[in-house]
Amino acid sequence: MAKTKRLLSLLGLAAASGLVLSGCATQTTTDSATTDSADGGTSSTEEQKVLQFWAFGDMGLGDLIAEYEAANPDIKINMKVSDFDPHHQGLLTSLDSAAPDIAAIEVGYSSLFKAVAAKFVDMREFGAEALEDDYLDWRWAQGVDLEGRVFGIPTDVGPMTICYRSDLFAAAGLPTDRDEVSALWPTWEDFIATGEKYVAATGDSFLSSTGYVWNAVKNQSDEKFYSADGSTLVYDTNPQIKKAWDLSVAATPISANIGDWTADWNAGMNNGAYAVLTCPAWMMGYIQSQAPDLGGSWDVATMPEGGGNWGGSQLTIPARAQYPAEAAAFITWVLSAENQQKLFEKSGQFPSTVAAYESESLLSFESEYFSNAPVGEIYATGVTQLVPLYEGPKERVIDQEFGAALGRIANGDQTPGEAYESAIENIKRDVG
Amino acid sequence: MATNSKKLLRSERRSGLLYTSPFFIIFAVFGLFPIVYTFWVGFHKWDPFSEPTWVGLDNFVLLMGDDRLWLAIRNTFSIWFLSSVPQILIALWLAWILNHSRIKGNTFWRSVVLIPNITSVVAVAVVFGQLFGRDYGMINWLLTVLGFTPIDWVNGTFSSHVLIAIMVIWRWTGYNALIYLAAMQSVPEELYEAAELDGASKFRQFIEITIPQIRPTIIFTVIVSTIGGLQIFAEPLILDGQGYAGGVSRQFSTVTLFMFEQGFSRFEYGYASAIAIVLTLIVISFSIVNFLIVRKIRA
Amino acid sequence: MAKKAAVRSQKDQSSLRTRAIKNRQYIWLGLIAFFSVFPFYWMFVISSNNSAAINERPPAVIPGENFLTSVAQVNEIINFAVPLVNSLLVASVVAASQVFFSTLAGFAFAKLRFPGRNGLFVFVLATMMVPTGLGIIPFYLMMSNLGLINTLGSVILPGLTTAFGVFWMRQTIEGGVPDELIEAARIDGASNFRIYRSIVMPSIAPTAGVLGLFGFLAAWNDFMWPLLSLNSPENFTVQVAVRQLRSAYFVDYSIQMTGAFLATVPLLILFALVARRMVAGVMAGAIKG
Repeated sequence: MAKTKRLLSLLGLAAASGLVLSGCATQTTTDSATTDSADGGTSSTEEQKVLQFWAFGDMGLGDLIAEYEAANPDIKINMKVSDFDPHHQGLLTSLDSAAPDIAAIEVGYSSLFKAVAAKFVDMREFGAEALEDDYLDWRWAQGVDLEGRVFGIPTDVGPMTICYRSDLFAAAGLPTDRDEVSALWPTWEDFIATGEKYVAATGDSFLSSTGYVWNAVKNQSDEKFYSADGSTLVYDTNPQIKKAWDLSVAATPISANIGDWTADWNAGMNNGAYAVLTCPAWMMGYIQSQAPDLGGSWDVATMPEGGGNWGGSQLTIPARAQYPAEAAAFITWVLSAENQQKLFEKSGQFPSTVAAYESESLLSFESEYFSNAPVGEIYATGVTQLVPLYEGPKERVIDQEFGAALGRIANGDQTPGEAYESAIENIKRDVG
Repeated sequence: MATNSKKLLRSERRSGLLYTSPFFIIFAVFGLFPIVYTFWVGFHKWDPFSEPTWVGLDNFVLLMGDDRLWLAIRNTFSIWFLSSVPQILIALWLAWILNHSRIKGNTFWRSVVLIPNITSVVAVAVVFGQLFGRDYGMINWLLTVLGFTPIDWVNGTFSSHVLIAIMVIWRWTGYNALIYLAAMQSVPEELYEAAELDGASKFRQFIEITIPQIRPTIIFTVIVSTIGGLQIFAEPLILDGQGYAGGVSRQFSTVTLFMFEQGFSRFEYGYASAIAIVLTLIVISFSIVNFLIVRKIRA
Repeated sequence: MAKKAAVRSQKDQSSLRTRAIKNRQYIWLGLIAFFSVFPFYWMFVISSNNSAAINERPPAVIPGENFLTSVAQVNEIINFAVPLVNSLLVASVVAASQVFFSTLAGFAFAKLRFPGRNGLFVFVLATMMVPTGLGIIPFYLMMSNLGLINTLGSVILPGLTTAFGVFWMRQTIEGGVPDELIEAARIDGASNFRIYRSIVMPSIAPTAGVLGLFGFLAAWNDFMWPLLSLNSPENFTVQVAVRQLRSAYFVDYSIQMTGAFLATVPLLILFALVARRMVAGVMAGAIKG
């Protein structure tokens, strides 16, 4: 018995050592006074309300959160950042039990969550109707269910361009000026031909993966996997999808087969493993954060065959949130036209608030990092060209299957024909 | 006296049932009930968005025609085979060394081989994922230095199975070696002495005395590693990094991972339960086969 | 006797060969030890270097000076003290409960006469063969209906008992506690629980301690169910927290590895203190298995 007791105290001792290790470094953190999402839920005092905020990326909100917390000392915002799919899946399974106060839902998942919109706070309770006119119609509609419940307020929009490494272009003997680069690829075929030239000249890959062509082309239409009214599935008949598929397959030889959001992908932004990325506005912030030393090497050109949207989220309040009113106040504040514009200038997410598109300061904004490209004007033009695109409930499932099929081609596991067939077969089985 | 012992017996009866009941209650609620309920869910279309509807055998019919299931079964067996066979061989050899050497520091060496077993799968997967990274991994760097072409471990079918097997082998070999060691220590010394007199080599002694003597223990570890190995899940999950698919070509998707994908990524609870039922049947039939082999050997 | 002497003289003759074998054995053991320990060392190397050093050719193989910075970075994403405390709590409760229920049931199966004893014990053994992990979908639905998702209770409850523990403790108590001792206590009028507490427990305490250790390790390292159930950072266990570090947008091996290291150090320290008993425990469990 005594021995067992000793053993139990040993267990305690062992765990305490871990605490000491992590504790002494917490000290270091507070000393350097960074964004203080570090303290977890432990240091909340009685009058302080801690809002739990779940997202699939830090969304570049650090500064704005700090500003909000400074102005509202009784509020503290804790962000939990997860991977893209696990975030949405975890949120869906948590809605009945452990929901946060604020949750981001990406547009690809918006229709899935519309089916359970009743499990979210209807933001009309907090006067959301008055905000409707501030936002792009189709972005606003992605946060409204069939019965008119407003379960989410739009964050940014993702009009796309092509981000390219002008230094690598120069080394490959390609033009570097953004207008000349844009002129290289009026069509996607031209884009791929340019890539082939680049690969021939350098021996390196042009794209990180064929998924970038896929993501761009499939979004350059008013229909994707579902018909525009959402009534039928058209993933196997829509000519735009077929086109996106064929172009992606054609891009296989110029692609490096590096998975997105992996360590290798991040490293590739620095080390030239690839030279271009299809670049929704928010991607600018990501590139800057991953390759901070390459300012002036990256630049922005237009995308072949016009614009297209990739990404954007709604911020929602699950019905089981502890502090719905406080969450609503924060969401309305952080997604106001003024703050969305601030966010764009800092980390690239382009505002979904229409007032911003007329704003002199936004239109004249140039990004120092992206070789002083007039990104404000570029993306503002891009956003006006966007046509609303319906995202259906099983959007993500379908996209995952196509994406995996492209990966199988890149790995050399399947021929394009086989990969397409197996993708269609899997989607038919899972979606209908 | 008689009434007294009757009273004693009654109290034993009461205490016996009372003391053993917590185990059965917990098992019934958290172990047995979910398994049984799986069969119920498997016959429904069941998701978080609507009321469950009875669909009979639909899920199973669909599943039998689902290539992903067969691929997952193939992968599961491949990974199981690649991890158990070397693991058992290395463990036997290691146990033999630990048992038959007159080296110093018995406890030290035994402890060292057990160290890998105390780590979590998560930590193992993080470390091995880094070591076997395609572009910046230590192993590929060594391969390059030695003049071989680097391997894209995660993206290849066979190489990813090998990588997962290495994680399993690293974690479990020492543990199994200690189990074999314990068994070897109970082999009568006389048998070896007799063989020594007959001039049998160490290797022959190992094959002809040690292995037959500890056969029941070997079979026990095979059964345990089969039940565990067929449910392998955490290693491939962490290796994928993106989700439950088990690689872009599903090259290391296992049956359990496939079940998770359908259940917690696609939210098809009914279909996922059907997968669970199929896997349960596989595990049970394997256990029965193992049991029959054991009985035959004992007889 | 004569036989043994003969063997001995033969051994003397081949002493040179024996020494060669012995040296070879040291080399093999050394190699095995290296492979066993290297990943732990590597964890520390990566967590104490920055990404640049890791991506260099040849890679850094010596610990750097960045460890505390890495820990600070980990703490910026998740305050790692929280999952450490949670894991300690979960694993301790599970360990204590497994020891209590297993020894209690083991005592009953070994020393008490009650109807259905043998049948029930066979049932305990049979449950070890049930692939309970495969009931995860209904298990999830059940936990969700009970409102236990995202609570530490959800990861503690299913671990409260263990079939292996009941089995092992029955074997230990049957062989390790003399019947005479129990009879003598009975004559003195001791109740069954009294016997359990003052006779059975003291005599099997070391083995029960090892059982608790195994329970602690298993609960500390559990991953599949906590990953599904625990969604809020304040409820994470260390394994879920390490997994979460991967998901922070900035994929960085030194941060991930630091998390893995922090989650492992407590176990390493624990192991260093009780390695001898754990080895004995594994080996003891084996003979009876």
